Amino acid sequence: MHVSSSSANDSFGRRRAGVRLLSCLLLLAASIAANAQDDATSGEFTIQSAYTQMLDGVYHVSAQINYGLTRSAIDALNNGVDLTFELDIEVKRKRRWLPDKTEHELRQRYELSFDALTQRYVVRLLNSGEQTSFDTLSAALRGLGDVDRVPVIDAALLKAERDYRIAVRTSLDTKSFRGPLRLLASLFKFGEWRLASSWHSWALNP
Amino acid sequence: MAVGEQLALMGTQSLTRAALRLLTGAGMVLLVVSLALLAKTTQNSDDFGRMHVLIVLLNAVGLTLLLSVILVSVARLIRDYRKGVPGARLKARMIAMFVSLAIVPIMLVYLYSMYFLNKGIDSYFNTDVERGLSDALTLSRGALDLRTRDELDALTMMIERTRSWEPDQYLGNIERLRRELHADELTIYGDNGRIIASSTGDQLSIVPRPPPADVLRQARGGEPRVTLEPTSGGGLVAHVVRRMDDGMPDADLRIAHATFDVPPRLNRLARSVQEASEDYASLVFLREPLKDSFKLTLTLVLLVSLLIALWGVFFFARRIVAPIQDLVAGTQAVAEGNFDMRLPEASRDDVGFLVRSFNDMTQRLQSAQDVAQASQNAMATERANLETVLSRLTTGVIALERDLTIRTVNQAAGDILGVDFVNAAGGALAEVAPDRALYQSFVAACREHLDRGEREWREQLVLRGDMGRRILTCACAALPFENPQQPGGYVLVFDDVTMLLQAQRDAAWGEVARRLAHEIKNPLTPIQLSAERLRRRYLETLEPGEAELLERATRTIVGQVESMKAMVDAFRDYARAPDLDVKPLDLHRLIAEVADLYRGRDQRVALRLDLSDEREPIDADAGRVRQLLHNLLRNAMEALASQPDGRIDIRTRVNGPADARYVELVVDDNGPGFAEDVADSLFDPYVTTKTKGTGLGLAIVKKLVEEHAGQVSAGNRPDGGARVTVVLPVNESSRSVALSRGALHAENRRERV
Repeated sequence: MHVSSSSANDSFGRRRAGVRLLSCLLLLAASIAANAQDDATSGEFTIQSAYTQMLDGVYHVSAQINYGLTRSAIDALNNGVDLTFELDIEVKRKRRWLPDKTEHELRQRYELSFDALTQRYVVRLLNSGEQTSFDTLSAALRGLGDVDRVPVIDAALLKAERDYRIAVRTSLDTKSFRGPLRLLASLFKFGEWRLASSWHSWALNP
Repeated sequence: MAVGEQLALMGTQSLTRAALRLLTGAGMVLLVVSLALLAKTTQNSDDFGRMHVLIVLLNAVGLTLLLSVILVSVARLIRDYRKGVPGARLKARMIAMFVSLAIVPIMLVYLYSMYFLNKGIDSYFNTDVERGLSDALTLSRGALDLRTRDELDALTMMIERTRSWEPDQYLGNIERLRRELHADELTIYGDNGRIIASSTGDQLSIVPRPPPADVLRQARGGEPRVTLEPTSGGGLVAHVVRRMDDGMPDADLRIAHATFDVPPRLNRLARSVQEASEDYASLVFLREPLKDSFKLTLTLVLLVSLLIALWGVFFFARRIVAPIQDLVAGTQAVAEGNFDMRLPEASRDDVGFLVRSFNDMTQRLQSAQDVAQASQNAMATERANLETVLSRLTTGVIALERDLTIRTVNQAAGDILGVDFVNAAGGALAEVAPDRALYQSFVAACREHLDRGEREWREQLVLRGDMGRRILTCACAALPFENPQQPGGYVLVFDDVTMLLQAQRDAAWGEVARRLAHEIKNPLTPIQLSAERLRRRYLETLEPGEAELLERATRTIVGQVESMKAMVDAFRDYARAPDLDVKPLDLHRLIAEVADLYRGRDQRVALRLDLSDEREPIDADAGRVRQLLHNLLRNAMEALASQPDGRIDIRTRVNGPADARYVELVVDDNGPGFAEDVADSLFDPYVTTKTKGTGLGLAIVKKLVEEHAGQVSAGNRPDGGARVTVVLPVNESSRSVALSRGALHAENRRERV
């Protein structure tokens, strides 16, 4: 009897320890999830509008993008970290039985930096080196989000009888980060740094 | 367990071991590679940032693999510990000890390193440096502001001077005004941003650089605005913007915008300060991530070290305990009597010495066991030989313990004593067959000597059994024992010499008979002839009275001589042993014929037959068997002569195994039976209790039976009367077997009453 009672106690103790451990793990997982969710919702990139227009036989894309930065990104920017944004534009051809084929893709890379000497925010188009400065971050973000007539594809390359769609997405490029910031953005606070809009697409009818 | 199952189990265990080794190897390789990468990338901040995630992932995978292996090892250890597998407790203790020894210094180093990381890195960031850099930046900005304020003043003066100008005047003088201002560009904007006039010092520039939108917007509000703006080439340009129509309510909106490039030297100095400030700010900002990454690295290294140490602990504990486990298993095997156990050769340390000693010991034990086994086999062989010899002996042998319990007994002993000694070994001698008079008298005779402490004796025992007198020659010897003063037991050797003595007596009687016949019969004829001649010669010459006497005398002489001749013939017949004429004989038919002859002779005697259903013919001499039956029936009839309700029962049975069949013939009567004083010599010639007869009846019966290799016994029935039992082999083979094995002899001795 003594032995069975002892083994029952042991079993109960083990079970209780197991429950405690499980509770701790669940709490930890919940806190991590909550933290990740807060981080993810504090910043958001949204494509508010986008459209295509043909100028001189070339399709141009214009868009209004709302860049909402997280606190971590703003802190990094104000502490001398340059932020790189990537605007991806893809022209896809719809196919009946197969996945859409990407006919053409274009990536516009923008760099947003804070110039401590002039106290101005500088937006630079890395593709061309052209840059503009703003006195405030919001003005800089507005300027960044104002995509004006970016030439995408020559209309002659598109065939009239086919269906095309054009899709736009923008994201923060954390791969260009250097040193421990990359680790920070990739591992420790990846939720705060994982900033990207969803794909915004619309039909492109030649 | 079947061989197949054992092979399958061994295969599964090998696979598991191989999988664990593979996992361990993969985990170790991953960890080593990742640590090498870590060591390399920490030298370079960019590589560190780029590779760190990969390294962390590699580490995580490696750690997971190693942790899995260790968990499997721990689970196995717990299982072995609970099952009480030999060496598990020692292994657990060693692992606990090693783990304690490994964890404490590792944790100390880890905690100290953490403390150093926190404090050390923080100490690199000095608030004075930060403030100094900030001040330097402010100073640079102030120097630039001073310069741009001068430029604003110059522009203001130019505006004051040209306030009343028409647009055309600006167009014609803009170049001169720009030069006077020492500006790189000068542009006059009208309503809606229309350029009234513009001049640039850059020959390649066609379109004037517009001011930043916020600057232009503020200037439109009336506020003079000076703004420094970084250029794409890394330089600085000062935008000076001022409204020209201040204080002129009716005038059109005009804005003057002049740009001034900051001189390269000033720009370089200011930029240097700015870069230093930004780098420092960046470092301060990245201080925590940096610390975190170092902590992560350190933790990974710690975990790697710890897990490798743990794995090493398990590995070396297994290596150390394995020979001990082998030793335990070997000891258990030796304890179970398996001396074939050889342990694998271990290292040349103390454990190896122990293993070698164990192997030497088991080898010696094996040799000793082999010798013992050989001795045992030899003993068993000897014992089997002895038992074979004993079983083939017609002499009875009984080996006794000191307390007179039976140790060994042979078949012949049972045959002679009429006792079944099966399972008698270990039992007391006297308790084997308490109801056998012969056996008990044998035991009593032996005990007389043994109780007297006689260790060796020899005696001819005359025993009285249920079926008559038996004569045994018995010898006893004490068996050797450790203590010479005490016997280790006794061995009784005895033989039934009843038949031998009987045969000797028969032979003597035969010789007597022959000589009597020869010596007595020879003078009888002259006596008879002489008596007849006397009568013939003197009968007619003598007086009637004398003649009658002579007549009576000579007749008596002749009659007695005739009687003597008949007696001598009977003797001759007894002694004569002509060859047997053996043929298949229907015994039952013969019995019936002979019985019919006797059935009507005496009305007071009832003769009943109880013959076996098995009418198996026997190989026998018909004439002698007929004589045998006559003698038996005559003997019985004579015994019943004075019996008013005499009864003779003749019973036959066929018994025995196929190769030793025999017919048992029993003749019972309800007469007075045999006298006690002649019980031992019933079959001797001239032994009779009857008033009639020659005294040769049973002697001849016995002779006839023995001529057929049979056996005869006679005795009194418990309920009165005599019983004569004759056993005859059925055929020649049965006769041979009976003669060789003495089976009939034995069977004959068994009680059949």
